[in-house]
Amino acid sequence: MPEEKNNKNLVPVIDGVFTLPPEEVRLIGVKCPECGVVSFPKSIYQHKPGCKSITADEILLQKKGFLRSYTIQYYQPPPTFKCPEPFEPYALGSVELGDGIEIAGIITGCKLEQIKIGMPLETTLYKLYEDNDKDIVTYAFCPI
Amino acid sequence: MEDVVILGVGMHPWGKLENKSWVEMGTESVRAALKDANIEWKDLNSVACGVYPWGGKSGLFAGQQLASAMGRTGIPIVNIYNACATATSAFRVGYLTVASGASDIVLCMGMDASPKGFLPPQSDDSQKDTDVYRWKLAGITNPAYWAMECRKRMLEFGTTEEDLARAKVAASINGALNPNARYRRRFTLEEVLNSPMVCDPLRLLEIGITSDGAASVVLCSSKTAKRYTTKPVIVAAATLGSSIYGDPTMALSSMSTLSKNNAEAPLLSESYSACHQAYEQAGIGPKDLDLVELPDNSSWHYLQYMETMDLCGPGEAEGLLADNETAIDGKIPICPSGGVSSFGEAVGAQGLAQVCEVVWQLRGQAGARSVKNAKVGMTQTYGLAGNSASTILKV
Repeated sequence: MPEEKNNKNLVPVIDGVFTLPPEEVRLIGVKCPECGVVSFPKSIYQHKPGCKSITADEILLQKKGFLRSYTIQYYQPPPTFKCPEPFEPYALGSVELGDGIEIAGIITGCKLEQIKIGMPLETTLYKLYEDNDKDIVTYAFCPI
Repeated sequence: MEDVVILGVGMHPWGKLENKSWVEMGTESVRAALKDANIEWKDLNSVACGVYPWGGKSGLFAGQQLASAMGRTGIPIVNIYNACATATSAFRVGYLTVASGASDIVLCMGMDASPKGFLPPQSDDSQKDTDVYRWKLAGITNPAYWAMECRKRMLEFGTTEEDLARAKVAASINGALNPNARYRRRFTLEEVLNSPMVCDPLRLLEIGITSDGAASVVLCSSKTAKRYTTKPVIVAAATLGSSIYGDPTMALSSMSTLSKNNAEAPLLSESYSACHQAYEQAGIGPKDLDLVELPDNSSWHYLQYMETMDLCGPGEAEGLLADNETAIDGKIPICPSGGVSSFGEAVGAQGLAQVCEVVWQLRGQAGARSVKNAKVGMTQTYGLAGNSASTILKV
């Protein structure tokens, strides 16, 4: 999905998970300054056992990475997931975004048959549905 | 610590029952276990009951609902929830209650009537319920997680589509011999390979469906058991495990993990933990097992758990399955009950169904699916959020 779209109408499906245009679209995680663990999303945070720090610093994950695994989901997931209608099978992937972290998310921007493990991908937005004049978006990964 | 034994077991057959409530199913399984144990409801000193997760407020008090139906006696009732490891966790609570000397005769039970289709989220609010993230952001169902791990395994070990289909075929051969299973016929390789793809590479027949069911187990001290039976089944281990930091599994409900190169702990670390604790507690190794009931939620699990539970080395599961070594008469019988594959999963009850099977096998009461000379059996279930519970039983 082009990032030059009218940004005023883009609403994230959940706040605080990814940045929006006019900034570069990137995922928001947290990193512990003491034990170094990177967590995504922010709320599902981890520390290493024995770490004394109770907080972690907000960071932006790398924009680009590689596909480490994927699946194609042929049946529509139940609500609260809302997606473009009528439902079409779509791809989910596990994408390595540097620092040894893999993130799960929608793969978009290519035909399902073109998806290959190891392919380079970058973080982008994906429109789930419209709400009046707003586009409700999530993050996704697309071929570079 | 007291030695703990199983006095009796009982099960309500698994299925999809539109007309029976979860409490009715539960009481039926309780009555069956009491009869098997040769005791009455009034003889119980304590109850450890799995929560009924789809029952709103009342489901949280499943044990009290059951006690109400059976007759309230004022005994301690604790309700346990550990997702799909709920029932085995209830077993462990019951086990500790007897082992500590706190109660002499304890009922462990679980019952469930799971929703059809994908198990859905239970709320809309990501602030309160972090499970909502994976739904709202990407619609990641449980089978999607398993499919992505499965594809990683295929890349690493060359697991084929036929290997995945074979797990279903093998489980169905056993399920066909089990009157309590929901699916009681053999499936062919062709049928499985022709079933619709759900989450590539996992097909419909390679993923455990959800089911209704109930199972109950009566535990007591070895001393007390002498009054009721000359052939108790001994609880050699009852353990609980949780995830270890550094586990590269993209776990259910999570959206990130460490990549394999950065892994510091085994895949499915909660199960690894529970099972290795079990071997240690029982003082045995995997080679001493005569049968294993593992949680075959999908064909991937069937293969992966054989390794996580140390039943074979990395990459070896496919070959053992192809050589029929996981059959009832094989080197390591896997899921002689027919497994989740043949039962479907009743989240709150599954682990106790596994215990029932091992007990029947060890007593020589498993009919046509009996494993010869079964003396030692193991069970394991795992659940969302990094839960696993395991038992080792012996005669």
